[in-house]
Amino acid sequence: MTVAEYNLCVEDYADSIYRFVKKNLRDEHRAEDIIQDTFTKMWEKHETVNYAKAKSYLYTTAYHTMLDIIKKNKRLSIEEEIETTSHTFNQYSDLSEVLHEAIQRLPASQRSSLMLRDYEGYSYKEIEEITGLKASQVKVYIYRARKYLKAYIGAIENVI
Amino acid sequence: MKKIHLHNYKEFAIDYMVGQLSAEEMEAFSSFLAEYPTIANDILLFETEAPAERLATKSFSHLKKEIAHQDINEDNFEEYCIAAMEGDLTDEATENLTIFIGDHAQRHTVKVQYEQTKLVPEHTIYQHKDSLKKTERRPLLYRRLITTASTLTAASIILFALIFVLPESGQTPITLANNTSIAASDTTPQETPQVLKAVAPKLLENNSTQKSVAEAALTPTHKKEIKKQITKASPTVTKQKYSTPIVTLKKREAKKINLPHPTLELDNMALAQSPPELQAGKHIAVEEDKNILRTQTRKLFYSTVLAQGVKSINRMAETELDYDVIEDEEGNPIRVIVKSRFGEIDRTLAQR
Repeated sequence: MTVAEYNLCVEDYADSIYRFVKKNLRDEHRAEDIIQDTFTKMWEKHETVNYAKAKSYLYTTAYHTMLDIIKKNKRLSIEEEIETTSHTFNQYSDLSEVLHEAIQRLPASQRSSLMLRDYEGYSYKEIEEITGLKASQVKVYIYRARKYLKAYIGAIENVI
Repeated sequence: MKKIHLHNYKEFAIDYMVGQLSAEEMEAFSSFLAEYPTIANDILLFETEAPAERLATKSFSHLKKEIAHQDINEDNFEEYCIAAMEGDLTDEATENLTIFIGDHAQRHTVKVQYEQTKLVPEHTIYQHKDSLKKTERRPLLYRRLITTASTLTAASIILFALIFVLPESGQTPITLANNTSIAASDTTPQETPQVLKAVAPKLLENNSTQKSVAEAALTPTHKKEIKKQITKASPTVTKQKYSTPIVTLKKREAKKINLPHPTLELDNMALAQSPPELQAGKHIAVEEDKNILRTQTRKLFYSTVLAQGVKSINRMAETELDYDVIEDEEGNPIRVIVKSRFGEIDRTLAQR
């Protein structure tokens, strides 16, 4: 791709990729680092990357970088999650906050698959290309994620 | 049942996570995970429930079949709700789902709850987009032409803006505004601007004789002052700012040589900065080789920094090159290979 096309990619996709990474990591500074790193990698290979595939390339790169960080930072233990949950029932004012909290409790692969599906409208096949998971796995993860979120919302409503 | 090991455990891992392993397979896979705790941790990252709470009763296998032909019931109703959200149902199946929900309030609530799990993207802005963007690199010749044209334009503007009175000859004193006459070489720093004013109009005239007389009237101090004025009037010529930063190449642990400022000392770059083997005297045999190597190294340096998008070599840049010296049986260097990130020069040395 040309320099102009690369700059168009920055304009078109930086916001959405930043949102995707930030939502997954819940760390603004680290998300910014990943965005910088992602676009730097694409710039290094911009002559070989097709402009039509740029968005997929960016998401794939950001996803794998993000996953490495998630694996390095081990998630909270289940006991800690349950303890945290019991103290936060009274803090939610609307559904979006509830969903936001619920999403963070999903495993990384389910969370990423669901975000790519809902935020970007990717198909199972496209998510497969980005994450390296099989389309059937992606479908299972999304189904499981929706079940979990529905159960979480239901639990909150029962308490409130 | 086949044995689970490192080369086939992934086949069982997915079924393990979705609760589709038989009791025998579950036992075997659990033993495998106990043997490889690292793999067990990785799988744990992808699970929501503790292993003991795996939902073995729920299965998605029926979704592999054509959904439209399945009867909707309480057991698979939630899967149908999710499938409807994901657009995975045929029109007929969607209609069947609507009929199944009917006026049943609880079922309607469940469907609504699933619809609420649809994430709505928030409006997020990445603030540092400008730092990600790149600019087009102009060809070197184009940049030099622009610089030269800017310099000439600025010089012409300065000369036209000043008003000078030309002395009749190099020996004729210069008449200042206060009607005093002094020789050009006698001017004090305070009088220099007046001297320049007196000389400048003659420099711009087409009469080459008067022009050369005017130039001869200027001392080196006056010429320096004119140059200073030119510099001041065209700051963009000498103080260009480059959006593309200089990239310092990664350091190599192997033998390396630091190149000094290219515009000052590159011509003087000597083998004194080269690795010890070359300094010891057992090195390039003839002067010609030294010069050729120096020139080739300089070319490599220029191509290196320009490839990085540097617009000018007026800024300090550090480049580290590797030298590989290949010796013969007697320890005499016969070949030198100069390497950088952007290429290498392979030079066979003249033998003594």
